[in-house]
Amino acid sequence: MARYGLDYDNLKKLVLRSNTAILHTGVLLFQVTAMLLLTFKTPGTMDNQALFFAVAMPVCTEVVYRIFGKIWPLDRAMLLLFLFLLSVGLVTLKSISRYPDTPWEQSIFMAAGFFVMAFGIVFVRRLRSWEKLVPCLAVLSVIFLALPLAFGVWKNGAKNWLQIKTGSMIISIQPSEFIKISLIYILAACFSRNARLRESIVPVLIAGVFCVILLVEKDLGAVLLFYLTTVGMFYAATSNLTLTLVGLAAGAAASVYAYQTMNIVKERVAVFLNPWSDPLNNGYQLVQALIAIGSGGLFGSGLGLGAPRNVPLYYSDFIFASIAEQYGLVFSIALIAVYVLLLMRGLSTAANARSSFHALLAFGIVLLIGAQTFVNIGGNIKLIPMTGVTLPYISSGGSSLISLMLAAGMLLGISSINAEDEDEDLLRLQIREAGR
Amino acid sequence: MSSDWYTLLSMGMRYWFIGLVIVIVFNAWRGALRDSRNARKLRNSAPITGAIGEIVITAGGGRHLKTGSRIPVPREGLLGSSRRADVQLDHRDVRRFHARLELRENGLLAETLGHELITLGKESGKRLLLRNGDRFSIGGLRMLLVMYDDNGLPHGLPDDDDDLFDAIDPKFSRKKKTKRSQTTADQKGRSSAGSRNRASVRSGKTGPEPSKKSSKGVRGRKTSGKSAVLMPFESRVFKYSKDTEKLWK
Repeated sequence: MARYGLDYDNLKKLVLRSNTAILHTGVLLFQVTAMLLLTFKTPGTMDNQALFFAVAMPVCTEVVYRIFGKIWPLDRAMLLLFLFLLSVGLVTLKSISRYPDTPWEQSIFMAAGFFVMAFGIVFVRRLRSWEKLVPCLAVLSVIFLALPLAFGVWKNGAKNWLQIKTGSMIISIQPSEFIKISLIYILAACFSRNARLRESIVPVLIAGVFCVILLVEKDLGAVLLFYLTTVGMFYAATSNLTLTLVGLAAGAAASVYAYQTMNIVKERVAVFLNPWSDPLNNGYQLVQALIAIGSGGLFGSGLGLGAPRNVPLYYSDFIFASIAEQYGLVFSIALIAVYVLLLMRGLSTAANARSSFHALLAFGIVLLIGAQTFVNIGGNIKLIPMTGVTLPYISSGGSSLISLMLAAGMLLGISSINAEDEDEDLLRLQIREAGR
Repeated sequence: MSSDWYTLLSMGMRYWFIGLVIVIVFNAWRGALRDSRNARKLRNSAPITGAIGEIVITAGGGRHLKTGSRIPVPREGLLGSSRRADVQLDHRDVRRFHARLELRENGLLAETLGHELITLGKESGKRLLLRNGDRFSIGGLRMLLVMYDDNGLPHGLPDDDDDLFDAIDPKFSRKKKTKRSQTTADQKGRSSAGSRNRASVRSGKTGPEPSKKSSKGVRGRKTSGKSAVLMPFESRVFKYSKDTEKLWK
């Protein structure tokens, strides 16, 4: 029916998003060629693990892309960007780690993560009364977050890890990673309910309780992320600039107070200001990271070459420095661009969401990924003082990977809901106008 | 492979990887641009996707709200006189953010923020469930809520009895005045290529005095005083043509 110039077939094509063929091929090519290259890294032998990955990674990518894309009308470009980040992570880990354990672990977590992603998609799509989960989730989160205080293990100066011994394996879980997602859910559900200011304080208080527990556990990076996410979502939900600025000022005041009272903050800021003041002790990590980034140059030192293992925590917190060394500056900037594009698509998903809960949830997830990426990369390149947060989807780390894949699943789920709603509305419009 | 060869190969592949990632970034960027352009085209040509109904001003509008103007209602949003409200009613009796609208299973829930009231028929309150066809008022501004598709539940299935007669001749339909058959009659009228249906339904309405006929048409079709069923022409929206304007003037 083109009575008023509405051409429904064309409109339907507009709803379906654009072609992702080149993106798709690019990701697959990257995986195959990088892994094939790494097969020959050690002179004389072929690295079987790399060969396995050279086959398994594209197969897995293809399977996930086709199945997820077939079942749900989700944003395929976003899915491909996530897959690209995951592949860069796995390839880099394979190239820089000394033993094959780390890449194996990462790949197993990724495989499990795909199931978690599917769970996230289905969960968001089926969720009808999201407020009902909030009290239960809040209580469970507080308990889970406080568990390391009782049973936990000190690691890298923070007591925020749980270790479970099953037989001979030790599984380390970091509850704060999962609680980030639950915080976003709680905030989205509470903020979307109403517009009155008094009741908006409750979720902020819950976030405050989380932050206090984390402060006791000395996990400063997580506190920073929780704080930024809460303030961002508060502003997005209520548009109350005054209170947001009050919140930001309170955060600034709290960080000044932390600087005065906590030694570790003093050390980190001193190292940030001049890492060469203590190059062998406190500043060692930052100095090595900067040297690594510098020695990478514009085009990198080459995959499998270079000396990335000189940087402590080269596989998790400082993996960006390793990437900058191996692949070079141009690649690193392009990687940042990939993150930015991912966030853009996430923001458009949030803007197109039909209910404010979905919009806030998508926005919160985007904020989390963006803030975490910024804090991590900023710490790597001496833009801001280093805090202990991992680079999303690239760093090794089971809890971080699985919780972020859950978040990715939720974001993709919301984008699929948007596509379905739009399609349904177009269909209704067509039926309504077909009477002419 | 010896380590020299590997070094050479790896250093050569650097450019390959950089090229790949640039292609990926460029392609993703172009895709984002294309999607936003498509989205804008979609918004421009079909602006009502996302709306679940309209509020039609029936009386009492000031200089900004003409009687007969329609404002789309989103699935959930704020109603008020502010420009930032999702349903903007620029009237002195409507506060800046007057009420929250939310689509529920059986209607549109309107909840006022603060102490103001919405009046629906005889009762007024702060929390009302408005149904399709309800006439309500805020202060002196009187409105009619028109919902597309009867609260969003799809009615795809035709009735058993043949309603074709009802759809064509309004006289017959008054005998069988059940909401169900009227709904299906409307659906059939809408979805069939029934230009005949339209013509005869409208012929009685767009006569020499269009406004009177149309309002009579709405009341004439009204069933037992409860929510009136949508008439086919009431559900057509958005592309204002000169005829549509005439209906309400």
